[in-house]
Amino acid sequence: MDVSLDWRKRARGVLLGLALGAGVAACGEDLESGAACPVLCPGQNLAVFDTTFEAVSFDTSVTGIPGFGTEASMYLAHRGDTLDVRGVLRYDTLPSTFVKSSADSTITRLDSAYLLFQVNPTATRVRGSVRIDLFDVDTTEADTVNAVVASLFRPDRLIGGTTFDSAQVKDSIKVFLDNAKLLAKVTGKQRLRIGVRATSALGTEVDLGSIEGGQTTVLHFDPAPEDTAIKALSVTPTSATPPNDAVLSGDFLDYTIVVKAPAPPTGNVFSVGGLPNRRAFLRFEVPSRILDSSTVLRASLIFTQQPNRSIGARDTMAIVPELSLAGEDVTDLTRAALLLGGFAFDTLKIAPGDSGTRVMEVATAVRQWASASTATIKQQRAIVLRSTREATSPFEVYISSREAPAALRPRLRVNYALRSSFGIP
Amino acid sequence: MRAPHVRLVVAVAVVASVAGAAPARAQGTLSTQGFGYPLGGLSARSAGTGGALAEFDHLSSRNPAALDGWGRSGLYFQYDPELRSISTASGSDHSTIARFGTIGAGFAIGSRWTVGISSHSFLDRSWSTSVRSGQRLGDDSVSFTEHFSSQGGIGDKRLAISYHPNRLIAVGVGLHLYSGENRLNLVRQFDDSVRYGTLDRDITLSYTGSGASAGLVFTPFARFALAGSFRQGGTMRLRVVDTIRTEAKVPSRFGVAARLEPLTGLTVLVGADHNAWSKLNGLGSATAGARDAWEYSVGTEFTGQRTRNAPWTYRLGYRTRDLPFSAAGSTVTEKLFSGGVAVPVAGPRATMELAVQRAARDAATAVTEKAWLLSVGLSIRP
Repeated sequence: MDVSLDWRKRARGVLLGLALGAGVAACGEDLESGAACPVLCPGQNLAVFDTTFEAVSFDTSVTGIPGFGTEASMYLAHRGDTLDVRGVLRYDTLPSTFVKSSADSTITRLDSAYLLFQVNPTATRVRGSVRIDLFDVDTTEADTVNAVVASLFRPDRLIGGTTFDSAQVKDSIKVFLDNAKLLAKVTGKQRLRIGVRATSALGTEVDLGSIEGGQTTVLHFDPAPEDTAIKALSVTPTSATPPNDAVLSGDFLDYTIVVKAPAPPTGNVFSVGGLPNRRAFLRFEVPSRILDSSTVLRASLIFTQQPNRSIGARDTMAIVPELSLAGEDVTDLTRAALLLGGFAFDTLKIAPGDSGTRVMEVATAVRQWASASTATIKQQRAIVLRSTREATSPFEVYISSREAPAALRPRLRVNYALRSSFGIP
Repeated sequence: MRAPHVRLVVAVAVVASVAGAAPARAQGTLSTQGFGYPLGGLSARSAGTGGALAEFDHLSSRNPAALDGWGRSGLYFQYDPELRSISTASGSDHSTIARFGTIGAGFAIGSRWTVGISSHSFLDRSWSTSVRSGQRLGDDSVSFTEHFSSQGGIGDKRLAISYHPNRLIAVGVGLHLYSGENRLNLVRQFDDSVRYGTLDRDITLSYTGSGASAGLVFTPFARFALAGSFRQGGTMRLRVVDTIRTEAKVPSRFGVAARLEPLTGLTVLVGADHNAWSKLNGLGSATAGARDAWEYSVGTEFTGQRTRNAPWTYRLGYRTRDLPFSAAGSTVTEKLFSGGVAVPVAGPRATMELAVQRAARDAATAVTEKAWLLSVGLSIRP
């Protein structure tokens, strides 16, 4: 056996292995060397521009959101002679029979009739006690007109009601109907359209469930009081009108009507919140040197709040900005204010009665406009301000519009860095 | 209510994000300041001798007259990873850089001419750093983390030809094309990313340049040789996209070396090399000023056992030099101890060249840098 040859073979194998191992170990690059910072890397000296300008080219308040009958809840409110919001439920199809011994029996008596409402505690404010009255608001007149429906909330049409202490208004509540009046509807095969009104000496807000919010209000009654084996019937809302329009008749299943509310603002002011709900729609014109040739680091929408002392002047409401995703060819402002995309936003909490300069961070929106500036379908450069309690709060913030005196107009302050070269040693 | 035009109400103000910062001084290492770390155009066999063999080495890029060393046509590939550690009083970082440093081919034409084409790494600018800092945005002072990285470098592509009319002398000339790019990415992420947008930028700096070189290998005695080479740099241009941003010259250089074989199988080498790095000034900012630098090297080569009639060659060396770009205003010096071995893997037709260099880099700063530079080369001469 040649020992020296064997040694050489081993050495060559070891060297090859070492070389291969070192190569493999060094294949995965790890360039991080921040330990020497900041001695050797004090950071990049990027010029950041700070500019404030009147970027709002159009501003207005948009109503009709949420649309009629699409409210996420049935918000009832009563504040003396300043605020009155009521609800309507339709049960256009009432059962006239019940099953007894596997056979249909006609309803001739009934008992324990009530509506079971779900209660949303967030927007419910009850001090002392609250009375919830139910009215028969069925009419042959045009009941798509709010004024007509509102006129039917009168004593001679009262068909039920219950008084609650504040502690009772939680989770769900039962509001009882007059059994005889309901029986008359059932036996007469009439439709039942119920107006719901909350009243309180101290003013009240009761936020009840709605179909759109996944909390249907169900009518319950016992069709055979003498027979305990017969279970109570549950009736969900139905609307027979308008016929042949399932979408519209669906909106009428349950809806809210604002009978009385503070007047909308006038003059060089637009608003956010209130009843009926309003969204602020602001369209912007931002110079191309900012959108096309720079990176926006910070963008602040600066606006001037005007005091609104009509309702809840010292209460707090929250406003959030959202980005309108509508294309430039969408001219219907309500639609443009509905097509929203959330972005990393800043929530602004303010009291409607306050006034002064307010700042809202909208950098993400401006960067979105920049990235969409080359898209085929041009997106409107618009921000929508909305209340976090749309249609469930009377609070309304007034904001000076772009037609107000110069010092009060909304402005955009942008910090941006130009896309100039960097990294040249 | 449409506005006829946008009305500017407040003048534009410019705010520097970090006071006193210089452009692109975020390398975070001593060796990759400026346009990067110069590898010196060394093959693994030259690296093993501390660079002292480079003037005689056909696999290195310095002396075109050395192309004669190919003997017959062949190919060569080399991988040059570096394992680097940086130490400061507050801690240390370890990084790994993978480079394919050299690719070359030689073509023997007759018995006196050799043509060689090769690509060597000229300046490598690969690094990455993360720093915490702050700046003023609007009315607020905000903190951010900035991640800055660079990858790539400048390569030296050479087409050269050598001629040896007799055993005493060999001459050669070469044309050099310098090209490459630095791919930089800067991400400035603010702590409050809802309120402040993240700055994320990419940029590619492209380089093109040219040069010409000439060299000589003189062997007056069988056991003694001298070599020298010279490179004249042409114009070097820096482009961003397709716009030429700056221009300068490719650094010229010259080098000399001596080889002595006092005993059969034992070779002693010494060399000196000068690079006029200051020719690069103007390609970058004033703060990235390059300085001319000397490199001195000494090395030895000795042959050992033979495998399939091909000898194993062992190498040792030492090299000291100044790096071209200063760190925080201080000159960076580099000292390298090296060793290597040439392992015949298929007789004389294929040889694996291995070298390892231990580098210590220092400057008058609180930062020290050490590195293992590995070189794994494979030479094939069918």
